[in-house]
Parts: sequence; structure tokens; C-alpha cells
Amino acid sequence: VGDHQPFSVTWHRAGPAAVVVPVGEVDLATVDTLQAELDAARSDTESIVLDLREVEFMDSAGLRLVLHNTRFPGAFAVVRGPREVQRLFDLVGLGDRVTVLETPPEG
Amino acid sequence: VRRRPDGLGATAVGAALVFALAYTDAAWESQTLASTVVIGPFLTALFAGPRTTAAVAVFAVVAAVLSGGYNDNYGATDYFFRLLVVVMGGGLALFAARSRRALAADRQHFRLLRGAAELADSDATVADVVERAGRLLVPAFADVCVIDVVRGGEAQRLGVYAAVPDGAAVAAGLRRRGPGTVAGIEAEEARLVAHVDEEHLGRHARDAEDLAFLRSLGERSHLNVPLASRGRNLGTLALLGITRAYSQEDFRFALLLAGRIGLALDNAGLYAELEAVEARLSTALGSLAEAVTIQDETGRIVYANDAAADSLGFRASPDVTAVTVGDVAGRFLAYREDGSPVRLADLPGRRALAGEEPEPLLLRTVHRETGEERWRLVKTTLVPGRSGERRLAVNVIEDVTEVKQAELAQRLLAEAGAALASAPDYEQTLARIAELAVGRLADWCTVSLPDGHGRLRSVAVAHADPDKRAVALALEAHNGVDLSGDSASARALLEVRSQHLRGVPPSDLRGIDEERRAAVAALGLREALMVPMPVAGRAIGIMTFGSAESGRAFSPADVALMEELGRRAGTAVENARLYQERSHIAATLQRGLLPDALPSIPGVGLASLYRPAGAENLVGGDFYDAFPSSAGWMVLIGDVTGRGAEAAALTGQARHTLRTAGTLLGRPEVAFEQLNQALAVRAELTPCTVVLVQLAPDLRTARVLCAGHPQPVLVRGGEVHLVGRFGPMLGAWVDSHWHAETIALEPGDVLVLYSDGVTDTVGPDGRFGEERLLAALADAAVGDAEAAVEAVDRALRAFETGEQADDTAVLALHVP
Repeated sequence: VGDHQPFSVTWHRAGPAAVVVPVGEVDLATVDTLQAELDAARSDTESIVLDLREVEFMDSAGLRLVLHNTRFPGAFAVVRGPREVQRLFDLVGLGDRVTVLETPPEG
Repeated sequence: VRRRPDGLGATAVGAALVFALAYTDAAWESQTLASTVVIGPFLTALFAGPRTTAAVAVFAVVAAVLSGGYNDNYGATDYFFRLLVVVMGGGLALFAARSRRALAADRQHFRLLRGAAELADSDATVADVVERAGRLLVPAFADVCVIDVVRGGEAQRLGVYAAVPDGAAVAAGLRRRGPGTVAGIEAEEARLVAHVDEEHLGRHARDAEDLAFLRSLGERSHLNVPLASRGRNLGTLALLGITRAYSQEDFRFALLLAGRIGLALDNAGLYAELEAVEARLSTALGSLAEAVTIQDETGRIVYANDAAADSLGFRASPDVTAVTVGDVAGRFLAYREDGSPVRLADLPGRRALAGEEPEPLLLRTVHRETGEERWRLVKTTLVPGRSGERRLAVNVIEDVTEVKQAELAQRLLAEAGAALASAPDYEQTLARIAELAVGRLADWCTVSLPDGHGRLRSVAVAHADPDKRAVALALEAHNGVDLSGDSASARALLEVRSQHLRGVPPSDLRGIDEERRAAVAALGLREALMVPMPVAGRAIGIMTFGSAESGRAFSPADVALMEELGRRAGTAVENARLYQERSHIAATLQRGLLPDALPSIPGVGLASLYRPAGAENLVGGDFYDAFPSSAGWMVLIGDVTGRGAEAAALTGQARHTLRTAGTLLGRPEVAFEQLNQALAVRAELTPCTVVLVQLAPDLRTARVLCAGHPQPVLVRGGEVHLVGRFGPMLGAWVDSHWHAETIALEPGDVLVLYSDGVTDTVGPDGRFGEERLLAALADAAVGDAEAAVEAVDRALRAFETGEQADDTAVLALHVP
């Protein structure tokens, strides 16, 4: 899409939690990649933090992914993303249901 | 060679001659013994040796001396003159005799040397050489000759030759004594025993009996010389002089002869070895599975093993060696792997003989008569040959047919698999498979399917022929074949069994009308194979493979491969049909998500835009609806997250639930809760967003409810506002609740509901977004519902790049 950077995702341990950092657009085309990375992080620890600060765009598939990840046994939180992403959260009611952190945990 | 004087008789003859001459002379001239007697020694010299001549000359001189008494002229000048003439004449006769003897000896030596040289030049065996040497030397140079040879690591007495009285007994005796030892022969040095004496005999006798035997030979002189070649003693030559004695000169000559005989023995041994090697080699080549041929520079095949004869289609290997490479090549059509023809000059044998170093050549050959196809790997080695000899090229022809055919089959199936997997359009796919088969399996290939009216319809045809004339012919030969007739095509289809037509023209052209028969003839058809395309026990079509100009015959492996292609093509067609069917189902489902037509709401203008995501026929999740309830009309837009048939089914469910609950209860909050419960209890997370507008019956107010959906836009007097409040999406949490926002409506208001497909549309500057949507609605002179929808559509079309990724739905209400 134009000059947007291609999607990428990494994860790292920060204390007890694993921080998963997607960069770019989270949409139908990239959710599977992101979910695979979340699953990989989850195989390391149950506590997952999804850092949304580098997410440029999220669609309903991304919302569904966040929702899906709240359903695992361990703790799940997101780091507050850009305004548009946060607005989307509020729009569908996710803002009230998901723990939103201002900064990621430090390890 | 000095012989014992048999000259005694000759001397007597000479003396008698001198006496006769003197007597004749005296009788004739009556007083003088003339110098005539000098003729006696000269005549003697003609038939006798120098000794005899000398004796006769002495007799003549004595006669001349005595003639003084007879003539009574002692002391007279005449007497001395006559005496001088006789003395000088005798001397000259003696000289002549000696010269003549020397000349004879030279002749003898020359004859022996020539004989020995011929020994070395012939292709004789060791036994032949020994035999010839013996015959040459005895009696010319020796009275008895014994030849011992080292052969196969042991010493053998191969030849004993005796030219003496009782020679057989002598030879037997010498044979009995046996050969020397190998070590003795190898260490043998040449020696001359000029005078054989008792001491010599005693040294060589093994016992008393042997001594007696040696003595009985009466040997005067003995020569022993090794038979050597290349610095190695191959045997010994013993020469016994019984009637003659050997001189130093004879010894040197014997060495010379022995050298020649040694060489001949060496050659004979080598030749025998070569023959043995050749025999072994021939046996080894004969038992090789690889075909081996040897050709010379003229192109003649000088050797072919049994495998070569078999491989090249000859009955036996001698049949092959009767012909040239050109004759053999003429029996086949030969191609490289890429299909280009191979000329005679390209064959590695020719190229090797032309001085090149050819790479092994992989050939596909087709026998001109039988059409049998074979793959051969030809490797050539050049045998340079010694100077003056022919150079030969040794060809090893490996039959790699099985490996190659398996490889090609595998590749063909892999490519066919890729073709089948890629194109959803099965006619294209079939055309691709037909193309793959052409050139590798057949000269042309057609695919025909029943047309549903009892005839075949050709849907794909491929031909190697570039001018496409044959394509038309192949098509004509197959298109429209009546399936009720008894044709091979019909049988292949109806009986689901391959039909193989062979022969030129192919046998069994029944059921083919005249017109097609002409097309078949024009194709130059050699063979045809019709294979069914089976699916679940019945054939959905047939593939026909034809062989024409390539002249190839279909082997059982080819037939198996073609049948496999037919099977895969059948599966491909079936899959394509299922796919198209599924597309049809999806399209039907899609239509089910939306009302057939938007109902007309009294006093309200309604317009919609629905653009499902294209390309793949996955059913999108957007839906909209409008229906009346006891509490006024409800208008909604929803979006089920996810795509495909399952999303479509859920979408249908969502729409149905909302419509039913909304219609019956008249309360959208309850309808939302109803749907939320239904979705939330599902194992699979299936969130759904909806925005719903409930118009009051008097159209003065409207209630707006959002369930995780973008807020509607209210366009009023050129200004735009977002209305409604956020509520949680449906299907995410069981305990969700929704609250409506009530807005007042004014005449001219336009309310626009949309799905996130609108705002998520991708353009050059990112997503379309809410702001562009609001701007589009604000800028346009949006007077009614139609205009609002058109404004959004226009703005989206202007903005979007690439393929639409998500469904897009827009619904506009206009309160006049």
C-alpha cells in the first residue's frame, strides 16, 4: 500500500511476560502472521502483551484477533496504539474489556 | 665351415685329370709335357675346394718337374719356362678355389640370414618359429640343432633336428636328455667349443650312460648361443658340428642368427599373448549388458557384441559387422533430448575419428519399421592405433530407455499437476495438458467431452505442427463423433477403457464417417490411443494421442503414462466443475444475504450500494436489511468478521435473527441481545458488528444503535455529523448491553449507514478513512438518498487503487 512499510512482527521476553510487537497494518492479510507469532510467544509464557504502538492500521480482522487472544488462560494486555486504533477499540467495546497499558513492561 | 676332406676322391680325380692331360699332350706333341697340365688345377677348382685344388696343383707341379726327364730338357730354358707356367697356374687355381669357396660361404650366410629374418617377420607361433629355425639351420649350418625355450615359466625342449646317419635315434636321445633349467637358460652365455674333447664331454655328461651317448655323437665342435630379445633370454640354441668344425667367425654368425630367432620367438610369444588377451576381451565384451561397437575410419563396424546386435535390431553380431554405421543409423530416426534431429556426423564415433573429443550423446531413437522408441547414451573412446594402423572408435551404447521414460513421465506428470492446480478454467487446463503431451508422448493430442447431445466436442487440441493445418485435421477427426456409433472414441468413453489403434492406416476405424476418415488419412496417422478421463467409475471425456510424422509406436509405458494423464485430466475437470458449482452456490448465498430489493418505506427515500470483494468467490460478510416493526421501520447494516462459506452462513443467521427479533419485539436492543447470545455461545469466535436505525412511525425521530460498528453520518444542510454511541460488538461477550441514542429528524436530512469496507478502502495515501467519507458527503450537494450513495461511490472509485479487499456496503435514508 503506497509507501507504507511492509508488515513485520517480533516478540521478546520482558520479565514474566512476552511482548509481541507488530509493525505496519494489521488486517485480513497479516492477522495469520501475527497470530502465529503470538502463538510462538505463548509457547514460552502465558502472559502476553501486544504492543500496538507501531500499528498503522487495524481492521475488523485485527479486532477479532485481539478478542481471540483475550480468551486464553494467561494474562493478556495491549499497549495503547495510535489514536485510530484506540478509537476502533472503543467503537467495538474492546477498550472496556481489554487491559490497555500505556507503556510495555520492561524486563 | 670346414668340412672333412671328402676331397680325397676329388684330389684323385684332379690328379687323374692332370695325368690324362699330360698323357694326351705327350701323345699329341710327342715330345713335350706342355703347360697344358695347368688346366687340371683350374678344372679342379671349379668343382672342389681349395685343398683339393692345391693337391692337384702340387701334382701338376710334380708332373711338370718330372716332365724334364720325359722330354729330356732339364736345365733348358724351355723346361723352366714350362715349370714356371705350371707353378703360377697352380697358384692362380688355388686362389680361384679359395675365392669361390668364400663366395659360396657368403651365399650360404646370406641365405641363412634371410631365412632368420623371415622368421621374425611372420605371425608364426612359438612352435612354428622353432620348427622353421631348425629346418633352416640343419644341415646348412649344423649337423644337429637343439632348441630349448622358456614358456609359461618352464623350460621346454621344443626342437631337436639331426642331419646325421641314424638321425632319429640321435634326436630321440637328445630329446630324452631334456631341457636345461629356467635359471640355466636365463643365465646362458654364448660360447664356442672349437674342439670337443673328452674333458668337455666329461664335464657335460650326467652319468656313464650319458657320456657314452655323447661320445657316440662324434661331435667335433660345439656352439651354444642364447636366444634373447629385449635383454631377456627366451631360450638357447645348441649347434653340434659333427661333419664340420666351427670357427670364431661361425660363432659370431651364430650370435647374429640367434638374435633373429630370439626376436621371432618374442614376437610369437607376444602375438600369442595378444590372441589370449583378445579372446578374453571378446568374451568379456560379449557378456556385457551394454552394447559395444567398434568402427573404423571408413565407417565400417568391425566389431559388435551380442548386446549391440540385439539393441540395434540385428539377429547376431556378425550381421552387424557386415554393415556400416550409416546403414545402422539409417534404420532409426534419431533425436536429441530437445527433439532436434541427429545427423550421422553428430554421432560421437564420427566426431572422435574426426579428431574431436565428443561428449556422451543422449539419443532418442525410433525404429523406422517397428516404431519402437529407445533412449540411448552413446559414449565413444578413440583407439589411436600404432603408426600406420587404422584408428578405431569404440562406442559403448547404454540403453537408458527405462530410466529416461520414467524421468520424462515423472516430469510430465509433475508439470501436468502444476497445470491442473493453477488454472480454474478447465478448458485452459486441458489445453495445457494436451500441449505437454505433444512432442514428448505424441505428435498431437485432443481432449473431447460429450456435448450433452450424444456427440463428442473437442475442447482442446495441441499439435507439434507449426502451420496448424494438422491441428484442424485432428480436430476434424474428433469433433462431433456420434457416441451411439461403434467407434473407438465411443468405446473409450462408454466402456471407460483405453482403445489402441495400430497399423498404417490404424486398424479399426469403424464408426468413423467418410469425412473424418479423410482427415485421419491426411494426418498420416500411424497410431492412436484414446484414453478415458475417469471420475468415480465413469468417463467424463476422452483424450486422444496420435502418432504420425515422428513414426513412434506407443510402448506399454507410454500407454500407462497417457492413461495416468487421462485420469488426472478427469479429476481436474471434475474439480473445475465442483469449483464452478461452488462459485455458483456462493453467489446464490451472497444474494441471500441481501434483500431481493429494498422495500419502499412510506415517506422515506432509500438507496444502497453493495460491492462484494471480487476476485476469489469467497462470500463476504457484509449485509443490510430494512423491515417494518410495530415500533416503526428498522434499517440496518452489519458485518460478520471473517470470509468464506462459514461467514456467509453466519451472516445469513445474523440477518435472519435481527429481522425476526426486530419484527416481533419491536425493540432493537433485545434483537441485539438475542443475536449476541446466539453468537457468543459458539465455540468459534465470530464477532459481528451492526448499526441499526429505528425510525419513529411519524418520522420525526430515530433511534440509533451501534454494536461495534462505525457510527452513521447525518447530513443536514451541507453539514455532516456522526450520530449514535459506541456499543460493544455482537458475539464477543455474553454480558454486553446496548443503549440507543435518539436523534431528532428534520426534513431534508440524509442518514448514511456504511460498513468498514468503505473506510478501510486502500488508496495511494493509505486508507479512505472517516474524514474522506465525511468530506465526500459534505462537498456533494447531497439532496437525497441516491445522491448520497452516489457521492460515496464516486469518492471511493476515485480513491481506491488495486483490488478491492473487503465488502463495501452503503445504505442511505432520506427524510423529505
